[in-house]
Amino acid sequence: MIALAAILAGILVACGLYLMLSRNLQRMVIGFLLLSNGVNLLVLTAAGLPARAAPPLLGEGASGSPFADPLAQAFILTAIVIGLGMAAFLVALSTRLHEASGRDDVEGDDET
Amino acid sequence: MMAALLVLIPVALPLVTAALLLTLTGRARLQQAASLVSGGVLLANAMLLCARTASGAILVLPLGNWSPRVGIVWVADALAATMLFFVALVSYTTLLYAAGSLRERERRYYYPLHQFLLVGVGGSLLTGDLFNLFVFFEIMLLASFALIALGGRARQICMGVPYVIVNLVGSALFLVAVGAMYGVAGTVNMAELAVRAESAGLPDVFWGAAALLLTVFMVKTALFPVFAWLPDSYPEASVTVNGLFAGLLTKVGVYTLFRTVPLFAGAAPGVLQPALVAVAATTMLVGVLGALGRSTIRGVLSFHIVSQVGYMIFGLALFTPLALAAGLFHTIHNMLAKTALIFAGGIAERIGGSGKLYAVRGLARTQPWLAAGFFVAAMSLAGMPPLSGFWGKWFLVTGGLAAGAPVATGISLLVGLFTLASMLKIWNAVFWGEPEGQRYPSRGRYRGMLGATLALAAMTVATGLLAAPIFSRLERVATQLLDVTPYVTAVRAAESHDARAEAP
Repeated sequence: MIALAAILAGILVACGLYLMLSRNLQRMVIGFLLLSNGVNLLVLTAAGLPARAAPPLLGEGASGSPFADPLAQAFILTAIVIGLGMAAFLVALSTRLHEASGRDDVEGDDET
Repeated sequence: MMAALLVLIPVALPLVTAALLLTLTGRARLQQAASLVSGGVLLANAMLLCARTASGAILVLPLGNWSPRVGIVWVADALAATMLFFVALVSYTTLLYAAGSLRERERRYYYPLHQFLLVGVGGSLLTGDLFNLFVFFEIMLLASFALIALGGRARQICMGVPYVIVNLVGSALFLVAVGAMYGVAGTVNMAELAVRAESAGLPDVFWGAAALLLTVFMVKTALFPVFAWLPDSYPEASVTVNGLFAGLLTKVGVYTLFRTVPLFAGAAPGVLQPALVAVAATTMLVGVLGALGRSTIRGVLSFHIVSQVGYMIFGLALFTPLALAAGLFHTIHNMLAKTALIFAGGIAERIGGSGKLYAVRGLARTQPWLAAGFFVAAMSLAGMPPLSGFWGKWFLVTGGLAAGAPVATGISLLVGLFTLASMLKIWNAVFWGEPEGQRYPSRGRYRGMLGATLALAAMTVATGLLAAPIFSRLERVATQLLDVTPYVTAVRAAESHDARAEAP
């Protein structure tokens, strides 16, 4: 399970990075979404994926069975919200660039 | 109670202010006034915090009374308090400068974004765990992304995109490192991590994650070889934003390195120190040479940020109290002097209508005060006595020689020479000679802009004259930083206190 999740995270990160290296802003947005999801999956995997783990809802009569790590889930939840904010900003940026220049890429002009 | 409030205000107050300012959108004067009031409170708060922590006390605030091992904990020690004070100072002068310098479109959203940036900076300085550091870095970045694209011009956005992308990838790597560390060590609290690193027995993955973390901080600090996002994007932002970024952003990166590296240095593999020294020396050299090749006022100044960051990390890399204190002194000096220079350059740009060197000339004749402000800050940056830059370099050179790093120390002296050359390049092109090309002389007369520039320049003079007491305080800060025990003990003490509180 862990190996599978790790490979999936790797694929997501690789595709995300490839798209983010593009000069087209829309591709960058998609790349960023893939990248952040890959990283979230990686954090979840790093915290351990115990087999048949119960959700971390422990009350009075908590059993000794393994339960999922709540802290890692809290991390990811926060990271998802942040990722959403960043993606929204990137979309706004590409809209603004299209308004200002009529294009959607940051091609060229390297004069300083 | 009082201590808890002092630690909370640097984050909570800008957040509340930002929300308030958003309701005042479109009323720029009111927004500026409210920002100045809030900035004043922040400044007073930072002074109180400095006074509280001066004797080595460390204020720890576990939020929600969770154990620091798993919960959110805020820590204010002498280093955080000192940085916070200078952050508040630079932020306040920037607010004074903003009103005259911003364009109509920028003015509308500048003030709330400034406050959001302060939330991120304050949180990064005070947090005690790596995950919250990530969160506040993101807040800071998002605000800075919006600020850099504030003008909305196509070229500004094009040049800002590399800044955005590099920092987003950096943040993703940051999260990877934090996740891996949590997986291996079971905590992200910095004090706890230091204890676990010390006790050995951690697998190599931990050190891999630590190396990744270090790389991310290097990106945020703009160290060689990952500085390229900075020199092109900063000059495209508006002058106010550029000055604010020069004073705060990379310095937060420097702070995180000062915070984290000593925590792990004791147990880290031996290559860490020579590697850091080499990175610092290369950064100094590459930064100053890049600056010499630029052809706009703010282009030169922004590239210089890279070079100066090298000095600060050089101080850190030597791991002696003397050198560490010198690095901190240099950081403080730079926050003031660099912002002053960019502000002065911005006024020159306004008067000439262009930021190109030689487009406007002879400002020393027509704008003597502006020229004086620039000259003082430039000489300070180049390291002329008795200004603050001289003392920063002096302490670094003595520290470097004492710590046995003659080559890097030699490079730092050589770079000082180049710094002088590039400052003179701007001085000759813009301030010296017969007045020429001053197309909009009235635009430079706004009192807030000149006042902020001169205030910052005066502060570099004051820092230079008060170098001895400031440095002895920073030496105590550095000793506290290098001897990790008080920090770790203070944070862990918060836990045992909680355990007692939960017992009944």
